Formats: sequence, structure tokens, C-alpha cells
Amino acid sequence: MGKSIRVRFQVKETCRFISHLDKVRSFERAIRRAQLPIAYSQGFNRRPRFAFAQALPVGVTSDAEYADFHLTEYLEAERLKIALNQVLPSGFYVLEAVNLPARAEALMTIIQAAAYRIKLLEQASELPDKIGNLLAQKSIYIDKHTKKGSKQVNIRPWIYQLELNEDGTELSLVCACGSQGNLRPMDILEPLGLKLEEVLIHREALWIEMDPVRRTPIDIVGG
Amino acid sequence: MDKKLLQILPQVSSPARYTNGELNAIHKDWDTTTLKMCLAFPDIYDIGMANLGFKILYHIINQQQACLGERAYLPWIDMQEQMIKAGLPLTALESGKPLSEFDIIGFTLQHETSYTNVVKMLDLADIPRFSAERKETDPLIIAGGPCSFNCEPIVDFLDCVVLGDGEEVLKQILELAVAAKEQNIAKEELLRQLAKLEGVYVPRFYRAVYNDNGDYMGLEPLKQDLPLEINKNLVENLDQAFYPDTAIVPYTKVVFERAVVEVMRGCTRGCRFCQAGMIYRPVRERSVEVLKKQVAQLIKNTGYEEISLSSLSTGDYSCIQQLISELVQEYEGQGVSVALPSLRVDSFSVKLAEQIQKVRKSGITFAPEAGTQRLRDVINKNVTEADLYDAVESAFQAGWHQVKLYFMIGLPTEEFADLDGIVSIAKNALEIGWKYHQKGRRKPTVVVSVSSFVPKSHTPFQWEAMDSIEVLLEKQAYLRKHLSHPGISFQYHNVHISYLEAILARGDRRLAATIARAVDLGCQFDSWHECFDFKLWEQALQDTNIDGNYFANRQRAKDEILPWDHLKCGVSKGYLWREREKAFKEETTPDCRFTNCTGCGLPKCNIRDRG
Repeated sequence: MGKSIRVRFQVKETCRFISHLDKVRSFERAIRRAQLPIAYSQGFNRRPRFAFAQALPVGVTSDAEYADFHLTEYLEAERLKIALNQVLPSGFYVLEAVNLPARAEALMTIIQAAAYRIKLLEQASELPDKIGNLLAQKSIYIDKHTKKGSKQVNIRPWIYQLELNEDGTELSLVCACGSQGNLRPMDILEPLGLKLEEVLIHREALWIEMDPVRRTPIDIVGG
Repeated sequence: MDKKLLQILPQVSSPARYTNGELNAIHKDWDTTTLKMCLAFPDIYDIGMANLGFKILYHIINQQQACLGERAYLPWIDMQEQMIKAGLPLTALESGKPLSEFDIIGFTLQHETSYTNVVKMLDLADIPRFSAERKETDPLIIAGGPCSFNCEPIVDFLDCVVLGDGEEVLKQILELAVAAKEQNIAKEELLRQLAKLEGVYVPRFYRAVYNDNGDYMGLEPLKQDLPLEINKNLVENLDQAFYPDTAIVPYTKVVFERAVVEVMRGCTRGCRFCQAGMIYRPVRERSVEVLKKQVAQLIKNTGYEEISLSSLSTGDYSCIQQLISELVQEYEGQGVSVALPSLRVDSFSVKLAEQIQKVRKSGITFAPEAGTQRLRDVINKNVTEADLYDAVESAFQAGWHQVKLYFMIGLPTEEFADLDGIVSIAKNALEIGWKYHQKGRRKPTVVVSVSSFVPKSHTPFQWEAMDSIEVLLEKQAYLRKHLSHPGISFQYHNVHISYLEAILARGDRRLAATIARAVDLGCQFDSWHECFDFKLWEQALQDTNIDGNYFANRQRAKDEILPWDHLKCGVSKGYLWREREKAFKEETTPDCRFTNCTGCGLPKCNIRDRG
């Protein structure tokens, strides 16, 4: 075993509007409050060493956020989980934690896909047809704003699954997530004629492998 | 969370300002708590979360068993629009209850240009604006903070105003309010009881009197047994004063995110333009032991990465060297740094800054305030040319690339020679910079930041006329022209905002109508350059028959009755006048901590008693 621990945590409603950077800082402060034996980066601006997986878009809640903590000594993962939950603000909750083998691959690089549940706050019309149309298209171009300006990207290849539940109140979306291709769940709203304020988006899972079996960043530790 | 709110939030900027649930926020049970008080900050969350007084009072309220304390801030304009559209009133963060359901709303008056925001918050909360219009069931609106010493322009909106340190008197106010609620005592009677407390002013019990020329002639009490003068509250021993061992940690980035300890209160340097230097006297220090204990608790409970040593002039704290060394030694290993909010203009202060700021990431700031020795003597800023260049030299030598210098224009007796002095200081400072940063990649820069002098109540300059808008603009243009130089950048404040501040800083009760009218016309966030609209204010002044120049640009006579004469900060009017006379003779007054009592008249003062 190495000295690093991987955790899965929740982002609840009160925290959903916090930027990725602010989430990182919330954890930095929690680590200091919990007085964990965290490793610090070298140099003048010493930061505690931990890393998050793929950033959660602002406005989205989640049951599937992952972070790796690099400690200076071996600590049982369960103890880290308990210690963090004692000091984290109420909008975060650590669900599970595992000790990582030495030289585990960095979280950021291994994420492949994500699953989202999109709850509809208002009655939406003709959604099944719109979903059918959307999936039938070979390419769907949207404007992507980057530092260098805006460009058109084709998001169709990143949509793996999009379904409406039986009573028509919730969409489920499985899509690309990570450095190989990344779909922001809000990007499918406009093609479906939905507005951001009409839905609540929740991230249900992150996967590092889709075929033949879906595996989460924590599954890989056991297997 | 309310469904309407849930749908609004994705449509507004920085929605996390409105979501609550921050670490260490206190959620007491609404139904079983007798008295509910909401602290209301008349600006956005990001600004309000930095306020030290709020941090202290929040915990004092919640410590009282029968009381619950929550917070509210003025939502940004986009959020206001959405709330109005959805029919949502202004609510407190913790419980989400409308402000109108609280028993007491406590505003802080930090600066005059936040007055429209106070009224705006009442509007958004559906609470009648004027004290006289509010009913028995409406909350009691109280206010404190530095502007309570010259609060007359805003008193028509308030039920009671608290002068000076709030720690002790707030407990007394709450005690009376709890009893009033339990015994069903009428608001009028409660206000009578409150008016008997030291430092509590109930404006509606007094009537302002004016002569035929429209000059203010003083206040007339409308009831018996009312004090004719209100003396401020004073916490004599800071070590024994309550200080919270925890602080709310915001989820999002706000101004000044750090653990704050207050090393001392008050300042006796005696700068003649400075209201804070007069109203917060005497100087009271906390001991190093107490401060270290407070820091340890705060870091443990917040996890902050920075400790700020707060006061009006932290470089003057008598044990500053010891405190900084011990804090740096203790916290360096945990990635926690120490910050000083303000630096004195001397090389000693630079040494302190050097000790705590291992990375010279930002610039370093000094405030010489005026460009010549003559004018610095007039304002009693006891800084010499040598002090200033020493400080600048030490800063560049220590590795800083940017030095920022704060000045004021429009000070009494100012001439263009004093502006030339600002220009030559900037150029000389840059010259010094080049000595140390010739070879490096980064060139030295000097930033000159210039604000306009606004005469304030309770200062030796309270009788002076502010420079007219035209003169100030001319002076700004003059500086802009002469400071246009590679390596020097020039920043300046909006002259019209300063003019508004000057009107409200020395105004009387007639301005309440103007403030109300300004809000009706759409004025709010007047201290925000992007929101301030001078045309609307001109309109409001005109509509309410107020001549702004009468308040801003008029020289007052020595014996004139001033609208704040009844609000006592302890420093006597005679002392202020003597200081004014010395100013015009270019004579300085030393800091009484290092010499003798200068006779400011403070009733409770250990320096005078020392002899």
C-alpha cells in the first residue's frame, strides 16, 4: 500500500453553485481543520497535495466526486473519511475512501465517462420525439467558449445514452467525460428545447472503463 | 430550498452568495427562540463577509439563549430583478425567513455611500422605509458602525442608533427586547427604555429645529428625561471583551478571506482628516497571549491559510515584532501565512512585511497622503520625506517591484505646489526602484492612487469646505498630465462619488427625503463606479430642494451648531478647533502614546491619567 487515499464524495444542493476552485479551497481548509498528515507541495506557495477528478460543472449536484489525498504517512482510509466528514461544510459528504496502491495512476487521466440524472422541474412537451431526433443526428454542433475564443464542436459522439423515464419527469444521460472528450450535461438542454432553470442536474457516476464492464475509480483499486 | 429560488439561482451571477450552509454558520431553532435579530449589511455578500464588527456581533446575539442571530446582504442587481419578478422578499441566509418576520434588523453604516442600499434593503424586505410609518408588528430597525456619529441624514429610516463599541450594549438591547416581547410591551415603550441606555440614540424622540435661513439650530427633545447628548459606548479592556473563537467560512471567494484577530482598537496618531482616528479613541491593545490563543482557535475552527492582524494602524501595536515572529514560527509549517492590513510609512514596517511575505507577489502600499512636508504638517501626518524614501528604498531592496502610494487631493490649504510634490515623490520613488531592478526582467513601477478629501464630522476639518467638483477635476487633470511617465501609473477616484459622500457626511435630517427620492429614481450601490449615476442624484437633490453645495462646499463658522454636536465620541469640540487652528499654522501634534497628553478631552483615558 502507498500513502495515498482515494475518496468518493457528494456535492449537495447548498454547494452546487461553487466553482471547482472554491471546492478545492473548501477541501484545503477542511484538511487543515482535521489536522491530517497531508503532504505539502514544495516551494514558496506551499499547498496541500490532493487532486480532484474531472471538474463538476457549476450548478450540478453529485454523488460521484473523486479526490486523491497524498499523505506523509500511511493512514487507514476509513479514518480519513471520518475525520473529513467531521470538519467539512454541510454541502459536502465523503461516502467512501480506499487506500491506493503505490504508484496508482492519477485520477485526472483515467476518467472516461459520466452518468447524469436530469430532473425536469416543469412539464416539457414532446420530449420523446426530441430525444429521438437528437440521437438520430450524426453530428450536433454547439459553440464552445475557450480562452482562445469560441469554436464549434460536435458533441454527438460524446452522447452514449439519453433516455426519458416512464413518467416523463427525469432524463438519464451517459456521456463522455475526461480529457479524451467531455460533454457538459447542460449542453444537451438547448437541442432538447429545455432551459437551465427548468432542470436540476445530478452526477450519478464517473467511470474509468465502459466496456466490457463499467468500473469506477474506486473499483479499480480492488481489482 | 424554495422552488422559486431554486429556479432563479442558475440565472444570476455568483449564485453561491445566496445559498447559505457555510461552515460555522449558526442555525438556531426559529420556533423555540424568543427573539430574532437579523444583521443586515448594506452591500453584497462578498463585501459584507469581511466586516469584523459583524463577525463579533453575530456570535454575541447567538450566545444569548433567548436570541437567534442571522445575516442578510443586499443582493446584486440581477438577483433583485429576479426576486421582484418571482415575488420573493429579501430573506435571511440561515433560515430563509423574510426580514419582515424578524424582531430586530441591525444595519451597519460603514460609509455614507451605502445609505441608499439601506433603504433598498428595507424596500426589498417589504418593510416601510420610515420609522414613523412602521407599525407595532414591523421589525425594530437599529444601526451602528462609524457613520452612527454623523447619522442625521439617515435617521428618519432608523428606530435607534448605537454609538461606539457594540459588544456590551448589544447584550443590554437584546435583554430589553426579549423582556418587551415576553411581556408584550409596546414598541414605543421599548424605545423609551432603549433611549436610557448609554450610547443609544432614538432619533424619533427629537425634532430638528431650523431658523428662517434654513440653518440647522439643534435638536429639541419631544419627551421628558431624554439625554441631550449621546455618549458613545466604550469597551475598556479588549482582553476581557468577547471575541469569537470561530468564524463563518464562505464557500466562494469573498473580499479578505482569512482568520482575523483585532490586535488593538483606536489610533492616536491624530491625522486631522481621519474620523476613525478620533471616534475610536482611546487606544486599547490585546495582549500577545490572548491574540495567540485566538489565532490558534480560529485556525483550528476555520482552516484558513492566512491570519490577518487587524487594526487602524497595526504597525503601532506595541508588541508587533514579538507577535509576528511567534506567529510565523508557529504556523509557517502548516502553510498558514500572516498578513498586515496597513503599513506605516517607514523602513521598520517594510522589515515586518518582509518577514511575513516570503513571496513578493503583490505590490507594497504606503500612504504619505500629501505631497509636501508643509501639507503633511497641516494634516498632521507625521511622516517626513526621509521616512518615505527610506520605506520605498527598503521595499525595492527587499525585492518588491511595485510600490503603491496613496495621496489625497483637495486638503485644506492645498496649492499646486503640493500637487507638484506628489509628482516629484512618484518620480523619485521610481528612480530608487531602478537602482535595485535594473537587470531583472521585471521593471520597477510606482502606482499613485489619489482620492479626494472629504471633510468628516468629529475631525479638526469638520468646519472646512470641500473643494468644488470643478477644482477637483482640474487637480486630477493636472496630476494625470504630469504623472504620464513610463513606470508610473495614476489611479484616481470618482470625484462625483466623493461629492455625494461629502453631502451625506455632514448633512442633517432634511437629506432623508433626498435619499428616499434617489432610491426611487434607481440609485443604489453608490460606492460602485459601475452603478453610480450622478445625474440621478442631481435630480433627487433638485426634486427635494436641497443644495448639495450647502453641505459639501460651505465653510462653517466656529460657533455654528453642527448636526452631529449631540453625538459624542469623547474628543471635545474645543480640542478639534484647537487642532484646526494649529493646522492652518502648519504646526504638528505628536502621538500622545509617545509623548504627553494632548488634551483631546476623552473622559476615560489611561494616557491622561498617567499624567
